[in-house]
Amino acid sequence: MPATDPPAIEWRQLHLHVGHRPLLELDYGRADTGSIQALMGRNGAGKTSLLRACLGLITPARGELSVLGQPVHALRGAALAALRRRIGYVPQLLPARSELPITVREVVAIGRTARAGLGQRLSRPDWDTVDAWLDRLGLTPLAQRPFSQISGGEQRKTILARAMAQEPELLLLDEPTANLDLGWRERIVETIESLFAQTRLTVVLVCHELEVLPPACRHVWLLDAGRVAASGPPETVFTPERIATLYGDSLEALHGNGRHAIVPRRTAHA
Amino acid sequence: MLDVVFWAPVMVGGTLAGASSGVLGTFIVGMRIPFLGVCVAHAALAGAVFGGLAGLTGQALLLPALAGAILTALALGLVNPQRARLDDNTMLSFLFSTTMGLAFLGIGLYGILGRSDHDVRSLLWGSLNFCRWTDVRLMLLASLALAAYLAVFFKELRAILFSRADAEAAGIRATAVWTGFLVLAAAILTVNFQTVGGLMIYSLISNPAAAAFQLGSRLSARPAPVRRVRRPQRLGGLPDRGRHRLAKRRGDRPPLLRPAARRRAPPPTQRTFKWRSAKSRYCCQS
Repeated sequence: MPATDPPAIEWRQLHLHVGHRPLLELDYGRADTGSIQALMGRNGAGKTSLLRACLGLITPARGELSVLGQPVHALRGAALAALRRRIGYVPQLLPARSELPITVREVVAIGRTARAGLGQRLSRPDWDTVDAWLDRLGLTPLAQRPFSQISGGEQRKTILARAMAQEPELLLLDEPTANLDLGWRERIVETIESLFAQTRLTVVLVCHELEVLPPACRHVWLLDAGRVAASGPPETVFTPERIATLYGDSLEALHGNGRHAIVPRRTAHA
Repeated sequence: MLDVVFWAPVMVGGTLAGASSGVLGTFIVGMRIPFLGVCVAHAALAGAVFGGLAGLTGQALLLPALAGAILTALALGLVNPQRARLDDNTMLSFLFSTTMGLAFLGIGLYGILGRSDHDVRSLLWGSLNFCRWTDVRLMLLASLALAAYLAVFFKELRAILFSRADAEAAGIRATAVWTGFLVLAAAILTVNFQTVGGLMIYSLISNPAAAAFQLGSRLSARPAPVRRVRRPQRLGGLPDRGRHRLAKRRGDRPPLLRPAARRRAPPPTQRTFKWRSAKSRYCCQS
């Protein structure tokens, strides 16, 4: 991707508050177009809030936040909705309306709803896009199953398919592997990696575990105490000193084959 | 002898009220705000009470009732639950207590001012027997407006039912569409208010929709009446589709193919726990 491309996300002197409590105070940062970037940090560091601010769901207390070239902090109403249509979002918590008789295909079709226009019916090409994403993510056999009756991993993939059916320019993933077993976690990481390889979409990923970072993710923002503690490739961000400061001195980071992990440090008697 | 001229509007009015409330209820119960019916009914009552105090009577009370109901719907729809950090049901309870308080305060004023509150009190219970063609026309208009709104905005409403927050994040004008629906719901409830009454409208909204969700969503948690229906159905030899499907998925035999005795008998541990007291079990073990 040429360096002249405008950044997908850019912030200047951005202050985010939760109620009256300051949560994030960021000086300057940018997420380049056509890259996978990760936001990491302890619980309550403000990772999800930063994603929600990118969607205009939280209004910054101060500063500028630009998403896909639009000043999201200044947008309202139809302009904000138009920007959101260009962003795919996979939230941390899945909707838990178990009584709602809605199929997997209908959930994915929600991704086309805003694109089709207010009050317009979904067209044949819209449904073709829905079916194409169901197929690409291996959800076609589940298409007519109720959303509430598929497994947690399949639900995550359905929500990912919904976000992709929107044909976004920026994909925001908030802990896409939360509460999943190892097998499903790996499948979701592979899915993100292959989506990126196929589409060169800008992806911003919030996660807690280094294992979740796809090999294509070469930039990590580490948030701590309301600020960016470090940023750069995972190998340089997760130094032994920083891991000890953040999580205690009994852990160490392993890097290899483009993947990363934090494991308990081997003791002398082991 | 059946007086068709008298009963025809009653029958048509009742059918329209049941149909429109049932359709409304599907979305209201789906959004988990079944209390909306009783809240809007009391807001309409408060509007009618103050309209009556201002000197309005009969059909003219519909206008202030409509204003009260629509104001409540707007307050509920325009407040974003995430920004306000308030659940929809918390908002409803706040609005309900306020509007009910205002309504009863107003009814108290009728006595102080020496006026008859008959017109206003009849709204609480409604009177289907006195439904006339003018009422039916209003109810028909409201029902058609609802049908048109659902036809146009069905895909947006489905997305909102799935998750209002996600719909908003995906660029759907969820607040506008949902507020429009609530305003329309308030209008329909108010129009039906005079014939069905404030209390009956609540059950017309909640009960059919709740039953439809239970019967139509094929979930494991089914209500007791459905289970009771299934038992004679199984005894009669009809296949139990839900269990059969589950059994096939698990790789088991369907329940109808298992011997009846084995199906009926509870597992031994459960039998011990059920029939023996703690003391006798202790004695047996020792």
